[in-house]
Amino acid sequence: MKAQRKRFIGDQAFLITGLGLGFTLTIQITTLTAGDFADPYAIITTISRFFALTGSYLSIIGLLLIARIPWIENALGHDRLVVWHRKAMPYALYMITLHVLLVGLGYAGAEGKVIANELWIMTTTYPWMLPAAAGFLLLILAGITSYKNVRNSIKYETWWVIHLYTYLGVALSFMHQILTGGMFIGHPLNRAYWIGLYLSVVFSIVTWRIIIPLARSIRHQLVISKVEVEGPGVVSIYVTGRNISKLNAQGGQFFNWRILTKDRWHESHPFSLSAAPTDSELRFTVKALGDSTNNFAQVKVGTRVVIEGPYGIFTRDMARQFKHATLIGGGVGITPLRAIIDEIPDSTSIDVIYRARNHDDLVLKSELDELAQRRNVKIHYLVGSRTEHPINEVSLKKYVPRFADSDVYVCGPQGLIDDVVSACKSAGIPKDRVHHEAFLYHAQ
Amino acid sequence: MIRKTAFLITGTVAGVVGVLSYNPPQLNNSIASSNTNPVPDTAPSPTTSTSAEKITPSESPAPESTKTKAAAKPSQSATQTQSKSQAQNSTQTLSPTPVAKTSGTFAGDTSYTRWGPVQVQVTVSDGKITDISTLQYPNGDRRSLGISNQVIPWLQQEVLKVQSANISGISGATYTSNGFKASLASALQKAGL
Repeated sequence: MKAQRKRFIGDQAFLITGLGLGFTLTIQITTLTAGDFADPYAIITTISRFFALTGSYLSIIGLLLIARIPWIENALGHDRLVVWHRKAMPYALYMITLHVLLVGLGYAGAEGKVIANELWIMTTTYPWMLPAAAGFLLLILAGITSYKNVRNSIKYETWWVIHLYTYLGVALSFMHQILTGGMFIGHPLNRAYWIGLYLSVVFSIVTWRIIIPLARSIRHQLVISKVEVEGPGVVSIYVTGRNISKLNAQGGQFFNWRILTKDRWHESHPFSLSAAPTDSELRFTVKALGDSTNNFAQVKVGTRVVIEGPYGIFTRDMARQFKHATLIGGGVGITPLRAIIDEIPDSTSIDVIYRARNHDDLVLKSELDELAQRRNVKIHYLVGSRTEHPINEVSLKKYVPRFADSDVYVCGPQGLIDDVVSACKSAGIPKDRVHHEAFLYHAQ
Repeated sequence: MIRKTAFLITGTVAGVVGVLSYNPPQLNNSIASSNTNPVPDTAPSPTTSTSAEKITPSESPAPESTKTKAAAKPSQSATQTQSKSQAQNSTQTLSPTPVAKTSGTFAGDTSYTRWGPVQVQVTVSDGKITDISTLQYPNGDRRSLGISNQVIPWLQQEVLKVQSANISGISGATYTSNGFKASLASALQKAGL
């Protein structure tokens, strides 16, 4: 997809999101009555409904962001969508929490009851309130386990399963909105809009997260064909199957992999391709990050795999001119860059800057060295801490004399990306020639 | 990012303005009139010449204040205001002495539910329920009103069909349904049905 077209689709997506927010607000505005402002408690209840509507809308957008809708993935990039999802969802949760507290307060005040008592009565007597309360607890649980400190101390797989329950949480809360929400009862258009909104999410998730990945996996019959240990904790896994070229995967993209063994089938891992796909083979290189990445070396050849993807727009197509390419990788972030090298035309000169904490962490080193001999690629290994090898305009120009002239690809931790982006800015490299993908979320 | 935010805000404003220009908020209208009034006309009866709501207030010993109230709240429908006055006088017997055992209009006792009072009135002709109206129903807040608007017409139709208080309630409106049934039962008792 051309950059201009991507931009157009991205803009449209934001416009439609805004339009939906506008409709959501008018659901409440057009159904307001004098009674909604009759007394302070009525006003509290009215505000609570505002939070309910906007919070729910935000959560719907948050779910659409990770529904793998192809046009949006291609236009905006998977890593950004995930980042936005993470930014939006806490606010959705705050708003829904406010809704619960304020509606309790508003009703309790109007009836002279204690808020806890009122919440209990509402939960037990209103239609579909018990499921809604259960759904709310599921959302809270997902929120807590996604909080940075908690997230780091639990297994990825545990987090993932709890996160799956948020779909259930959102679904459970749906009926109480439609059946008790004053803006929906007796307002068929509002109701139709709201149902349509939720159905679009169900459709997107079922289509692009379940049906298409399953269909692809079945069609391509992917099987692990070789497992190679690259270094301490680093393994390259080769996958073969039918018509792999029809997956239209590119170097720099990644798949969510699910290895179908008894103890692993329920885990999904986002791993980048570490070589450009061939007609018959995909390769991904994995560093031990999660709990079970540790023992990928023991995965048996012949094991079936199921994939979701390819995802990501961190590909050579994004390049503007390719007079020169500068690829900057941090740690295992080198793997997608390694795959991109395969797809950059031989005529383009390439500088690779590879930063790693120590020599053992230099994944795929021998392969890179071989590439450097075969074609016009120069590799700069920066082994040591960030302070030893700072990344800025000066240092980059020292390693790469043609830096200001190049298309820049950077993949690694967010800190590295920020450094490179600001270096490019001060070197006067236009934004559309700087391509980056945070590797952080792959590890999470 | 600024560009995207601009698109987002443009969309939001367009959405709000678009809908509001087509369907402006009805903030100043009363609750009852912003919705279709559920009480009258659900089952127009060919046998009763006068509609039930009109009979009751003229026969009930409503105080003069009813009229001033109605004047003070012009937005509220007459039916509602008058039926409120009935609630205030609910200790009195509201139903007129029936001319015949099996014909006339009978108001049931007001049944107080969690969401507000419910009172029904039945018109009976030759032992048959020919019309039913609901004089009072939960309307204190939007949600109650909305639920009332939905379920009361349905309950009324049920009564005309079943011809007794033996109707099934509506899930999601348990309180209103039960209040409706209780008031209906007392009205039918008065009618001797």
